[in-house]
Amino acid sequence: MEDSCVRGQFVLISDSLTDGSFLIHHFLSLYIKGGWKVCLLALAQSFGHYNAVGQKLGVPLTQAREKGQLRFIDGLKCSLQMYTCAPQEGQGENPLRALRDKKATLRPLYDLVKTQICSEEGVLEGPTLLLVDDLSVLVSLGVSAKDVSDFMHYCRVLMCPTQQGYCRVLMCPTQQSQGAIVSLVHKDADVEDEENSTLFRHMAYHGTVHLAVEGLSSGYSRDVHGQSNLY
Amino acid sequence: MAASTGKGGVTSFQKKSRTKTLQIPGTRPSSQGNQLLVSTGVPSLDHIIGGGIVVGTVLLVEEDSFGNYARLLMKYFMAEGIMTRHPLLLSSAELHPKQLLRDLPAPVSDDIGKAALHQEDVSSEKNVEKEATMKIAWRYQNLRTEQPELGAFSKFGHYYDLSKTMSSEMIDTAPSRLFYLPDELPLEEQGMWNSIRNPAYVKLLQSIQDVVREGQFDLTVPQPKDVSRTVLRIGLHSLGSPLWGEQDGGTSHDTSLPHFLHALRAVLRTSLTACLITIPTHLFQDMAFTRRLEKLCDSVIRLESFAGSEKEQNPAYKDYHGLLYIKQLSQANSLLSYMPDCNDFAFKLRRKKFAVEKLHLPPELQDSQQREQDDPVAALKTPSTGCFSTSGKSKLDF
Repeated sequence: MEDSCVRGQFVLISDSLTDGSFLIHHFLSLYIKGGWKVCLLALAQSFGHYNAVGQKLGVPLTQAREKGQLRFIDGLKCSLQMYTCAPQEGQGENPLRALRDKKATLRPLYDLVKTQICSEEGVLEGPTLLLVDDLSVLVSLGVSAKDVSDFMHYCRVLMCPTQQGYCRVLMCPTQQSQGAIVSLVHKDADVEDEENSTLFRHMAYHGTVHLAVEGLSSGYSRDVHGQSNLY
Repeated sequence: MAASTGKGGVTSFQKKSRTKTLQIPGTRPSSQGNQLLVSTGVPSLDHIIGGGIVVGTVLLVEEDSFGNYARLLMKYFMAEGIMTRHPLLLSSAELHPKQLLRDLPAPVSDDIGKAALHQEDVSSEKNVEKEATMKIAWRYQNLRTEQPELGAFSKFGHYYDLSKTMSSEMIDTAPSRLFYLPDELPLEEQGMWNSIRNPAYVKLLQSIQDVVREGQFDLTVPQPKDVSRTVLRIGLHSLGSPLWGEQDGGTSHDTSLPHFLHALRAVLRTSLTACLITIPTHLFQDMAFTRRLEKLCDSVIRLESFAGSEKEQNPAYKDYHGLLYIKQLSQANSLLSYMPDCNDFAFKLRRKKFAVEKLHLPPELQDSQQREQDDPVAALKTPSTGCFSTSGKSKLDF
């Protein structure tokens, strides 16, 4: 695995029968140490979790958050608010309105991400990473794979616009893509989960790098946790 | 770790701990990080899941077909809460929580004896007798001869006797909040799904939030220093059963229970609570749905009891009542979960102990097995379990 932060990458992490979230922590610490601005869309864990691990890895996340280098979007809190507020109250500004309202999409979430990382003109200021942990939670909560895929497509256009090879020739050299995206999808091999598989296929199509994390094919071993492949 | 275990230490050595861990009776810090652990009530189960339930997380128990052992684990969890003076919140849809609480196993008697003694010791003066001067260990002469017993309530992990029930005074004096679904939500409202949320789960989450707020378990709200904090134990018995209104037998399209678990995680992560949920996943048709629920909980174990299945006659399993599978272990606040030595566990229920042990496949039981079909032990030795099924049929022909 490369150790330097590369721009214009859409990295997809998929895990099967194991947990690939250690890679999220790895990327988080790598990019924060590299001086990038990071927007962490945390749908699976609380800030305390990332902070506790970050301290062990030598990355002080609370300071990064105060300085503004890390923008944290607390998905757990938004989800809780959506769950417990009465339907008569307007859902207001909650970015996860799609969880209650079947007709809504993840557009408010995309707008929130955009306001967090872009300047007023709507362009990225400096190298920025969008880290999504993780997309399968959105599917479990009822968002369709199509909506999630659209959301990630918009994010990709925002973060790494020069994906196709031929475009690079036509664009001016100063318009190099500034951002990168890393996202995590669960893809368990022994269970038939249609929505998750559809989402995985869409993400694999969009992504430039695919890291697959799985257990050892020979069974459970205490010291070696698993293997990962790079595509 | 800071000296909080209360064993009689004679030295004055105290390890300096950089991180300030909350000292709450009945909990202990985990070996992995500065997290607090709470006992499940079954010490052998605590051992295999990494010391106990991490405060702020959920332990999901996937029930066995008749639900007996899962109910038993819930009772152990509640009994442990009473012994360690943790407030309880118990919810159930079919069995009234009061009935569950009335039937808790009594702690094994020497723990009670110590607790009673402790009450008397505290009130009376400690009587330190001067022993004869020590000739060899004279350095220890001037230290106190006895450390005060901290009492049974600060011990971690008690043993219970199932033949007796806990005394009702102990149960009644314990602070507890019960959630019985037919009381909280009248039957007419249960079927009404005006939105995509199951109203039963919403009511449950709201009552959990109320208890957390009122009992001052919320960590985001700063408390004055002299308020002693304790951990709330939440037990959700048989969630997701048809009585809770699960429609379609639990298919992937139903998002009420996953959303409830997600919102519950949001509440738990910022408060001093530990949660045990039992779900009858064998009722769900779709494995994908079960897998999604597992991903939204922190630690998951599955019980499989032998009652009524052909495994009951299998001589390899003759000492045990069922199997226990660890499907997932908590990764909260750490990079990796606790890695157990092996994944083959079986449990057996004795009068005074619910023991979870490693399952060792025995060697060849008899030398004179004529046909392979007759040998039930050989049938267990499937090659797919990895490193542990090392014994195979080793009849070498020379």
